[in-house]
Amino acid sequence: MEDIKLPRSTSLLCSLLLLVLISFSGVSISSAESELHLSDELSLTHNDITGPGSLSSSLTEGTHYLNVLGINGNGTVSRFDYTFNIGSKATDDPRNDVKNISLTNLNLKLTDKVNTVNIGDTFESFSQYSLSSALKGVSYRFYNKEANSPEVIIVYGAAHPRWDSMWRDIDTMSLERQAGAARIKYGFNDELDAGISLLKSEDDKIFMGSPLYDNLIYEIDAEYRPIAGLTVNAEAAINETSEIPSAGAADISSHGSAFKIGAVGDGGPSRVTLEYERVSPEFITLLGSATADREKFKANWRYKYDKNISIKTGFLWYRDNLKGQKTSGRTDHYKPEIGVTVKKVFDRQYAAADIGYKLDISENNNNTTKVDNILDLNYRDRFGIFDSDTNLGYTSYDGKGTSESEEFTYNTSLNSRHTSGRFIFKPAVYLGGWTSNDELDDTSDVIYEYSAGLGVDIPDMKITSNIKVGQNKLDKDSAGADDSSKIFANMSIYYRPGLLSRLNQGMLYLRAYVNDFNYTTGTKDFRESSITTGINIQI
Amino acid sequence: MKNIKIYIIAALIMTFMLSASAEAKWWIFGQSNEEVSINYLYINKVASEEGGPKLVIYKESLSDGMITVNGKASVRKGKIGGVRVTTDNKEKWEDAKFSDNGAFEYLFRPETGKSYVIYVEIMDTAGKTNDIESTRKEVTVSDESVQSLIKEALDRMIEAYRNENAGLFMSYVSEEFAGDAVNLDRAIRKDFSAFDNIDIRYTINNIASNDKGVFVSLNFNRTVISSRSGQTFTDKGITEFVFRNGEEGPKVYSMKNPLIFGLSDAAEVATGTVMNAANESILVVDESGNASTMPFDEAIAFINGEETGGEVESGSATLTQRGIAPVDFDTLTVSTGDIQAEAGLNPVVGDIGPKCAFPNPLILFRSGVKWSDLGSGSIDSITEVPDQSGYSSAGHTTIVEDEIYALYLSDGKYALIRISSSTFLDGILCTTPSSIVLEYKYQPDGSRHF
Repeated sequence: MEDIKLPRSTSLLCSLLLLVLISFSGVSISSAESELHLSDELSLTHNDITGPGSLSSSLTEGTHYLNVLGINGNGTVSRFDYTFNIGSKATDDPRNDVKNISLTNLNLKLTDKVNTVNIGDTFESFSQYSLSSALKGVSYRFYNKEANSPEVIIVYGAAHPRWDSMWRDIDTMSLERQAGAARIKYGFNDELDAGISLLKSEDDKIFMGSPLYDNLIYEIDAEYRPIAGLTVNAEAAINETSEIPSAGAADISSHGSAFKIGAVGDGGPSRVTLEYERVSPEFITLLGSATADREKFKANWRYKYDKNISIKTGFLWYRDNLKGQKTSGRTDHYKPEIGVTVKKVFDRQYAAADIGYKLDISENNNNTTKVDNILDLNYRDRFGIFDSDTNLGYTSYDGKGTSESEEFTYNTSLNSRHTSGRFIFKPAVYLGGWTSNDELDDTSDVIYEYSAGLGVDIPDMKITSNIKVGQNKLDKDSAGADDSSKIFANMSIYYRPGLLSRLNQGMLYLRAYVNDFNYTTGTKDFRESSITTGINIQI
Repeated sequence: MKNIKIYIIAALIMTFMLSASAEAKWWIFGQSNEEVSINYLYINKVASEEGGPKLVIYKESLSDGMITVNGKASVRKGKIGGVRVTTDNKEKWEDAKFSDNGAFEYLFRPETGKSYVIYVEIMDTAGKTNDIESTRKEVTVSDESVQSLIKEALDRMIEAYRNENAGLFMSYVSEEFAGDAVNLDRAIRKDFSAFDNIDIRYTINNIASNDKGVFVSLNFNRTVISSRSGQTFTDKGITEFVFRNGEEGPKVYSMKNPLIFGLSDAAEVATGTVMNAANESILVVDESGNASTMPFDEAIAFINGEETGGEVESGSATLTQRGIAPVDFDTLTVSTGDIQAEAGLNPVVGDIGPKCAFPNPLILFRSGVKWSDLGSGSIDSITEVPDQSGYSSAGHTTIVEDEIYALYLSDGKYALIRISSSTFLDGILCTTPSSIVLEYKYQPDGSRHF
């Protein structure tokens, strides 16, 4: 028996939510103004893995099913508009999910255009530094657009990656993190908006050795549009964090700050963005998305010279170790780049070329400097009945004495399309390679890949299909490393029969592939074959 | 607090500078001097200038089933005389609501699956209009569920990643990517160098959306072949993405560890970690593109560059050569993590061993062990060793007292040795037993941190 410990409050919340959702789905069916949609995809997969190295396959041997169900609806009850979503996943393949049945989403939203309540999966993204993750809980939003009122949002919930984690299931247990947050945003006039956010999160118990955090973040942000085409935005936050590194250890308190200001100029053929950011090493945002210990400046300029030529340039600089706390020293990164796209090259109607150059410099004040040069060239054109797409790339890695290597990539594809009666044939050929030369070890590794494919569509029968065969080969120069080869074949057929089409977007499909891996060390060889058939229904 | 004041002052200065030079329009180099212009334009809260010429809005995100086009216009002289919006590529124009300060709004109820080509025209009382062409946006309302749209976006990203098409992959990434799009671009290119035969499958665990974006949690399975070692690696895990609505559907705004894409620079690309309940091993890539799998907690420490000094094994050993022929000396084995000095007849027994030789006595390295001379000093002063890509594969070097060597062992782990003292003499073959005393450290977690 699995050990399921559902907290009473969570259980109550979920039960109420389910009850309400069921009630609303009933209302939606009976009401003329409501909608109810159902989508379901059921697939059966049979995998066969043979060979002494079969443990290297990420497939599960045997026949398994996967069913993904989604129900959503909307309608009106009294003065409230509602929308709801329920989703589930069922499978017996542990590589798809450790749980046989699980909820993928559960959400109800009620609004009268001024007051909005969201229950279940709640995604209120306040800002990068405070809240930009989903919670399982409840949120309330007040905003009267007609009266130009402040927008007020209050949210409370648990930050779990999946619903099963809420019931503290042993297989899907995650960090117990509760969060409450509030935000007020006000448009002072048409040029200026400003917001204030407060976020408090608390961890319940140490999980997988992760420290326990009690985190409080105060955040302000503003957006200013002084003239046509120019937007200036700024955000600043400070945190008060209490951390318990391990069980029984004393609290460690810390305070950090984060700040950024940016400008976007957009008009005519040009778009320029500028941004400066500084995030202190002590700044901890557990539900935001910022990297601590970072000072950064970046600039981008996109310019359309004429209808055939456009230029894109960018520069990124950042560094860490802002307070000298790292023994490995501070690393400054400089990443400039420029790219040019030219259409109708050589006066050819369908020709287009992209040329890009990127430079990466990392300078560590203790020991190492690394310089990478990246050059890309892409050329697309049509030659008679063939569309071609060719890529050439060169990258050099210079570790200033500690490493030195260069890589070449080269690939080209030819595609064509022919109509014959009710059939459309789409043959394709791909040839590609990659060569890496290590200057210090004096070794060279090469990858070759080639494949051929044929797509066949029968539009009046609503059938699309494709088959592809090829080989990928890795030749290693260095001693002791295995060469490898994969011979592959795959095919797919998608069919939308009339009955399912009437149900909306229904489809039947069949996909299959075989991968045959061979290594220098024969005991690593394996072959995996997989065939999947499925039906997708949307009502 | 001092820092915060500096930030606020800097923000104000930058704002004033930008505002003061506003008429010059530095970002278009003075090319624009419109009589009538649009300060800002939003389509369902997405800034019109973001992304490219197309915008996909999914039906579930529509408020009351309506699309809102709103913004603010300004005129150099006179007043705004009218604001019109077309949703059918200029076939039919509709009046929009506007106020004296230039704010305007237009709402329409779209049909799902249909594309709308929108233009906005602002006209002043003298009959002059804005640059109408620059307001063009093609909006499509998808009747697909959020889950279907996200699945399509992830499938496209995985396809581009498997085909090692960096340009196409990055077209699915938001320009505002939290870990910086430039870093992700470089990281996936390094992934493409590090991996061959990439295979990724996933199922969605959880999804939540609002009108700005979508939060997604998913399970993944992955198989790759390391192009450095030729080894096949498989791993699985649970990770999270945030997507933002943009051109041609949702685009990735942030990703957490364990990463599916950009593992080669995970510290820069990921903003956060989804903890793994079973501490299963996940795939990591070091600075030189060497792939390996580590238990989840060790992998996260490795990604974050956390020093793991507490786990380093260390000690000292005395190694002796007893005569010139046959070769008979002690060796030190550290590569198993079970450090021991033992007697042997050749250096194959251990990772290192001393040997009399003319004109200089040598320290021998087992075949497969690479080394780098770090100079003289205290072994405790070395907290991180260089990456192994620059190490020598030569089988021996001269014994020099006080010299420190970084070793890259045949099991892919790093070690440090320092020759504390030596009784070997230069230019003289051994006739009596000679010995060296070594200090050593061994890092069993595979990192370069000591």
